Amino acid sequence: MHSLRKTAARFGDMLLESDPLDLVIRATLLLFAGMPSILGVEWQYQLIIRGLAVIGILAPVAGRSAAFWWAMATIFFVKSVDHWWIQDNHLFLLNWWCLTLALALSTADPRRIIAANARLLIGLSFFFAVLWKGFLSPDYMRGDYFHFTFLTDSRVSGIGTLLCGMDPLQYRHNYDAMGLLASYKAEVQSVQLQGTPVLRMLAVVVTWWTILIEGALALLFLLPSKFRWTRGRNVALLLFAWTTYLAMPIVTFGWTLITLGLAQCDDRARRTRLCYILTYPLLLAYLLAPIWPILNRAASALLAGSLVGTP
Amino acid sequence: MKSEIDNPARTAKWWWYFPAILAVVFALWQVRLAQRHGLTPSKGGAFGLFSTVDKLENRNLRAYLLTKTQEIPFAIPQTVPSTEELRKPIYRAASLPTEAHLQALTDDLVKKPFTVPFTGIRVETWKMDFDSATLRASRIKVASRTVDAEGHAQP
Repeated sequence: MHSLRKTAARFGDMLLESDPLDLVIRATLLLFAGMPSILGVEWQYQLIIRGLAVIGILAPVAGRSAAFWWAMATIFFVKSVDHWWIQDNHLFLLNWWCLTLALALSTADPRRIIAANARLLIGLSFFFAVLWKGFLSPDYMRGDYFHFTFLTDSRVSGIGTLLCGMDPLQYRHNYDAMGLLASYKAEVQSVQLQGTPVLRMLAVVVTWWTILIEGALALLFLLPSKFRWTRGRNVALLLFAWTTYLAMPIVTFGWTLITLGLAQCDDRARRTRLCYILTYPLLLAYLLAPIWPILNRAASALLAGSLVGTP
Repeated sequence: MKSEIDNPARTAKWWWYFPAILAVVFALWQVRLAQRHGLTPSKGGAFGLFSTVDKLENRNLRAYLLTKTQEIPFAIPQTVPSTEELRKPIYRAASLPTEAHLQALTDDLVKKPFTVPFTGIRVETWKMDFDSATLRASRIKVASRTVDAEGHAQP
């Protein structure tokens, strides 16, 4: 046990002592090598991106060369042109990120260019997210988006069951109704979903919480560093990652944001860097560990215990 | 003491921010496509994914075989071979249903060996809508295109 703790401490020190630029490059390459959703379904892109990532990890000199990142940026750009109508947001973000690394490593001041672009890219992601939610999309501010998601997305059904009194039959009904609406054989124009008033309330709370924290993140990351509040950037981003991805475990986007967060983090802020590094396994744990079913079972057991104890 | 990332020893050049500038240009372009041409806000790189029920996975393509007497609905994925290259017209027509994208899909469909003699094909793109107050989910037509048996567009 003691030696295990010592090894973990040594590993932590090694990570924190390593050159911040190397750390960011390694984190990016691990993301590319390990996340299938980044690679897409076509073998050509999978082979080239994963192959380059492995080379960059095994040969750090290659990973630090501008030519390497220009090649990576070109492949990501070609892949985006080929798929942009189905490509998720974080893949566009990774396009700009590869371009940042290529550009930065071609200059004498890479660390500064990487940090500046990472900060801007995080700020812009949240700025456009808030623009869509608050102004361009008619259904978000009414709470429709999260309400619909909580009623029909199986990834968040655990929250509805635990906190909002939804039962599995209601979810079954909703999944079937959505299937009917999508079926080419049925000329059904609309379907009735089932929910609870508490679920509606939760949707409204999450709607407002999301727009507030995303708005705050946009401001914190887009305002120049001379403003005092911007010191809260890292805390806000980490808080966002720790809370949002607990409810909705989207690891690839989470890891992309954390990589950008790490890249813009001050080299002297060792504790913050450690928090960013620890967030990678945390987000993976959110995805793999059945947190909500466990909490559901615990709540049911507690409830059953209190009912048994009732005279 | 300033850290390396904030040290203004070297004056910043505008092109240092080129990736962020490109991100803005592409996001604005996506907003325009979504507002004017029916692109789903969830795709295209402007971070509209968690803002609306009109996501790509909630979009629905419907196809009809037109005969002299009736319209027969058929499933598009079952008629198109499931290789990525041949699925592209389907995704494009659902995500951004412009005339050109719908035409590309109908061009593929008219070549399929249907057992029923047909005079044309109609393809429709539908999006999702949801009313939180009544809990009703509905589909709304975004675009459609009709072609004759040779693939020529019909009014």
